[in-house]
Amino acid sequence: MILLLISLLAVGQAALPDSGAVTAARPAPPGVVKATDTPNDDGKSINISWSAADTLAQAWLVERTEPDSVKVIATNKPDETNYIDEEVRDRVRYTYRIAAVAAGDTVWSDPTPQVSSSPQFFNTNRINILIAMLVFFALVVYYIETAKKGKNLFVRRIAGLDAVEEAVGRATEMGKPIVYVPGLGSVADIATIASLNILGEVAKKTAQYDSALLVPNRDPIVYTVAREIVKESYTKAGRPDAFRPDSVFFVTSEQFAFAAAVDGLMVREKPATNFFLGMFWAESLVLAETGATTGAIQIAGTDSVFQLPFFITACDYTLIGEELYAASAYLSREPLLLGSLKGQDYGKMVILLTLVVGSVLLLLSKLPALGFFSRIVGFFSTR
Amino acid sequence: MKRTIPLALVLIMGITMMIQFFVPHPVSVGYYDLTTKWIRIVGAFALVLGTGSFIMFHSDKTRRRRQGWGYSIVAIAALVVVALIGLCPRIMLWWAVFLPTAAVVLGLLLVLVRSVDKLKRFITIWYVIAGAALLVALAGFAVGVLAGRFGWRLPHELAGGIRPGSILQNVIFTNFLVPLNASMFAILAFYMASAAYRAFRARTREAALLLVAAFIVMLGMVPIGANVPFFWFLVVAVAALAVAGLVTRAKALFIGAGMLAVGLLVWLVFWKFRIPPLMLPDTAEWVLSVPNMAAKRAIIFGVALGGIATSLKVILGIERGWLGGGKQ
Repeated sequence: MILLLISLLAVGQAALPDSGAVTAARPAPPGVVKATDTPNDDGKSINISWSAADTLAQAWLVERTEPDSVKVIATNKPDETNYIDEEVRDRVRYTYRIAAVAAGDTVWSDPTPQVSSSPQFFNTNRINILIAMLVFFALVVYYIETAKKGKNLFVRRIAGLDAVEEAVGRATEMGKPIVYVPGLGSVADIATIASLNILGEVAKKTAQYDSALLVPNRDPIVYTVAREIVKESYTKAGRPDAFRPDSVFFVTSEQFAFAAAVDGLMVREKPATNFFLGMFWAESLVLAETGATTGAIQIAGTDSVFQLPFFITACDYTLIGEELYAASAYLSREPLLLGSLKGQDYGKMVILLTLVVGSVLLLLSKLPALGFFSRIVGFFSTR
Repeated sequence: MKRTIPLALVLIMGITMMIQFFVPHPVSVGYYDLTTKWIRIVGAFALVLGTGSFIMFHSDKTRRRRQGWGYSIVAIAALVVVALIGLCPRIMLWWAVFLPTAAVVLGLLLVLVRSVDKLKRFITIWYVIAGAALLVALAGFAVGVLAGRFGWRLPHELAGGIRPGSILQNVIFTNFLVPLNASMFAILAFYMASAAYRAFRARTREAALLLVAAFIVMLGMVPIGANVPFFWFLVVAVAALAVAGLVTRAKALFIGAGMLAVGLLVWLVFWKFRIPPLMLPDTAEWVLSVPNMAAKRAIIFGVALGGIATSLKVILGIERGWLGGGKQ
């Protein structure tokens, strides 16, 4: 009987759950802890990631072991299972441990294998950009070579550029000057470079027609380049004597002070033609509307989608986006430049095709059997 | 040679900067930082040229008495005064205001005298102003020297309290530059109204479409628009368009009637299937995020490709307009 009682008690005790586990739940150590050199960076960075074995952890501790010291370097929230250590030295070996903390209890993971950081020589995230760039370069170079062989390349009419000749002629007939604003951007902006290229062509025409040209500038570097361009153009047109050094001048670097000065210039001089080509911001409408009130014929062009509506409203002709970049080739009719324009057009066609194919693939990838298409689409996305 | 060196420099820098974009190594990052610093240094040198151009332009304008030459004097005086205050942190007020003014006036006088019939122009108002300014400046200088010698207590502004960020500089910035900039920016509102009037005159089908789209967006963005169903807006807009069409061109009446019929059909579908009515803010949002965004993206694609092609042309030396154009 006693033996029976003892055996029953023993069975009963074995069936009871562990009393300690009920009162204070001990968190499980983190799952797989991985420490890797952060990819595609300039070094001095190690990426540590881990998985939560259960939901008991109230915080995570990240511990780094260096050759000569050990220290806790971060405390993460329960839902943050990743940490980037940016206080490491390149080519020094480190190990990491992660601890799950709950109710004062700390459970550490095993240390990771040794890891060291190092800088990379190629950013693999940008491989899609590299491929796109090479394809586009190949197209441009191919059409430039085609143009070199003398093939006639068709370029569609651009009304704003056809009007340049007329605009310069108008100024000559009226005996009034032409105002050319090469935008408010710096010389590092492509739109400014495109505008300066057009300035060269416009200056040649003004030299031929003997019209006065006024070029106010906001950026001192743009001013120096613009001055040289106008001077060279006058020399090329065989009229170096007609170049007036004060026709190209620096006004101010202040945005609205510049706008006020150019407005004043337009109101006083009553130019026959205004060119606003380059980068513009909020002052675009102030300039274009003042120019419109003076009765000048106005040709504008910018690559800013926000300023284009203002120019379209207030100017007679507007070069929309890429037309600004095409202007130099269009006006000079140089075969090499026209060839690059053609390459640009085919580049756009490639983008269009990519968009259509990408959209179709993305739709198809929603089907379970064709899910791998999303990887192809993902290749084209920015990372 | 004059062209070969810049072209070679552009080719080397262009290609290295392209490679730099794909290389995250610290050497590459350091190279990028260095070149951006160079740009700033070149900019600083160019600023000297820019200031030189500014002074030459305005002094020439004053000398030749071209239209608006009075403003040129103001521009040069402002340049000198503000520059001096910035450059000389502990300059006295007398010096800061009167001495530069005197210097500017004297300088302008010299410019004027060089080109005119000397004796007649010698006695002009400018000499009187210059003389007065010079006297005041000298008086100020004398007061400053005496105050220093005898330990007189002068007001802060008079006793050399002017330095960057101090009273006078703040006065110039807060009371001149900021309001002037704000005024120019405020003019934009009036220009927008006049530009909108011109753009929204429904002279063509495109302009009529623009007008309707603009009204949808504008009304959809204001509080009252939140209570307007798209259908009723369409009724009002089309009615207005039709009336305008009756006055100007009969064709607009048919366009208006057609749009109204389509709108009515859409509304009937909504009513029949108990679909919640489309409110104006939703319509405005759709106009902005679908047709408007599509057009914007098309332009952005073109701009991006155009930018790359232009850069390539400049790097390869095909585009030489920035050098003044032409070949070697």
